[in-house]
Amino acid sequence: MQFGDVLVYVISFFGLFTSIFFFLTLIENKQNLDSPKHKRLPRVSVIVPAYNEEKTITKTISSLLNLDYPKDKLEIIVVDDGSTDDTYKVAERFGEIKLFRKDNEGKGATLNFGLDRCSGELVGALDADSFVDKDALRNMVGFFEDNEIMAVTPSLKAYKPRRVLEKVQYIEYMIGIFLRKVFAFMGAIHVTPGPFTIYRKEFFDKYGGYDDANLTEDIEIALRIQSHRFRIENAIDANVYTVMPYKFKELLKQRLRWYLGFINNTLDYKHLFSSRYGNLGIFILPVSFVSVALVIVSLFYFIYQFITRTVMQNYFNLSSIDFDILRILSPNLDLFYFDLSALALLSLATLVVGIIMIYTARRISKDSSEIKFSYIFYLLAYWFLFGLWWITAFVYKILGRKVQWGNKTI
Amino acid sequence: MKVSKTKYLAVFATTTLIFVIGLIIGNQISALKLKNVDSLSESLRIDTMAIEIQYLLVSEEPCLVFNSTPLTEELYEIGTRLDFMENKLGSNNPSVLHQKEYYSMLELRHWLLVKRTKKECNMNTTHILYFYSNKGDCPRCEEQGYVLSYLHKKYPALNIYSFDINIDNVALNTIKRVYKVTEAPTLLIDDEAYYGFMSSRSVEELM
Repeated sequence: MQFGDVLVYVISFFGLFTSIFFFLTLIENKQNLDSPKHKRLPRVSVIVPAYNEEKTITKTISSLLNLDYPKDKLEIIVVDDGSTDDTYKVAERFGEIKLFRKDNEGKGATLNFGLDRCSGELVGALDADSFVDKDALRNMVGFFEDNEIMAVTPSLKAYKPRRVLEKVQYIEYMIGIFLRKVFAFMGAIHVTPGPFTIYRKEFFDKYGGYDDANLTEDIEIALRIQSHRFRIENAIDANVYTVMPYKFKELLKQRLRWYLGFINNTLDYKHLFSSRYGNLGIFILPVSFVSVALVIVSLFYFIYQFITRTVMQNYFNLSSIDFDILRILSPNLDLFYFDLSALALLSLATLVVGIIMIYTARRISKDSSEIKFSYIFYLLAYWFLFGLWWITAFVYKILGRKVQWGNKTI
Repeated sequence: MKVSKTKYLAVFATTTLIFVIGLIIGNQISALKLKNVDSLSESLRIDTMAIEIQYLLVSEEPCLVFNSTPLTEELYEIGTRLDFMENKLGSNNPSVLHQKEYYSMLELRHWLLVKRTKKECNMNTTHILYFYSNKGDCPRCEEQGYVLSYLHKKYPALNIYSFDINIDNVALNTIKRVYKVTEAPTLLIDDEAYYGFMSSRSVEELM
């Protein structure tokens, strides 16, 4: 058996095991899919940190003002983090918000600035490139009737995916919606997305604000909550839309920050890799790293095979027949040569599981956007992109290189 | 949150079950394919025998009845399928090895027949015996195989017989000894041995 075969077997087994586990968890909890009804509506503060967001901030603030939530119980705090464009001027047009301006310090410090000035029992943030559905907040606050719950995450979706990279991310976010709900049932959410995760304010009062020196303050805060053995929930019917990077370089920059942040934070919170932290410690966190390792190994193997087998061998072969390509191009349509080996069947099964996962996520989050070619783009590109982003992140980590985050280098 | 050991074990058992079922189905399909090659070889054996007998029956005028093309195609087809199966199941698979040895014998038999006809009927055809190795000791064998497939496409009447140099068989060993074939790739073009890789152009010049 060749290395490539072993790799496919390992990936298929691993993929099947985790998928079955996730689906089983979802089925076990299907009566709990809907968010709990609220008995009362607590006061909520939403902080909008903004740095050079003059183009999108109007839509962000408008979507918050449109929230189906009593106006006297909703506080909107916009903090202009020293923008060099007209962000402050644009935000000023809204009379119903609290608007602040300060020197540029980065997102974490801006959020802390907002935390110090908010009066809500619950507090959340909404990046100035994200928008919320009307009923999002109402669907989230019911969870907080349970005192053990410190944070509730929304369903994060891609905003109007049109270009190829946006469509790829749309599917990735869909799978994220599915996984976050399953992780919530397992008590294992380890990322509370920046856009519109709602926290209990007392958590910040007791355990400190956002870590402003952190690349991914949303991962840090989630791991901190888990570390204090509180719960993080997910309101799958609370839709939040975010504008995605559509240029390769911008996307790479974003992922480099996310993944490097994930590596750093899991190292800081490595004590969570323990059975004392339940499914998170013994399954979800280790699985995250194993899947990354498998993607990286398979990517290297693929590139090696592609160069040595496909490119070089084809070149040698063609040069040995004086590049008489036309004569060699006669397709063989005999059924005998269709590869139906065990490996092919197992890969197919893994693929089908992916489709079911996306379908389930769309159904339970009531998504109706057009996805015609998105899954095809996703299948073709995501594995390669994911591997590439992670390899870059590990290279940065090993070489100790810093990442630019806003106008800070961390 | 409580961890359910039973759930982990149940999921592990289910995954293993699905995995094993997948493996069994895949292997069944491979077995069916080998059977298909088997029945093709069998029908080719009968066809070859039929020609030999026909040859004996009309020994006064053999050239009137002998036409090698359809059988060569069949032989070539079996070779391609066996090659595919060898790639799928590995060169150490006992069924593949057995089939390959049997196939080599059919090839030799056909080759002898073609050689005899060529001589007696003054036919102007070329036949090539190609010795290759799949044991990793022949880096240019894949390329040589590619050249020969190309030549087969270009000249359908060209008779190409390929042999795994590692098959330990009395008849094959005799050929290897007679033509001093010790390395792969080696080509015997119209009974002349050429050692090492040959491009399509070099082969064509000898045809």
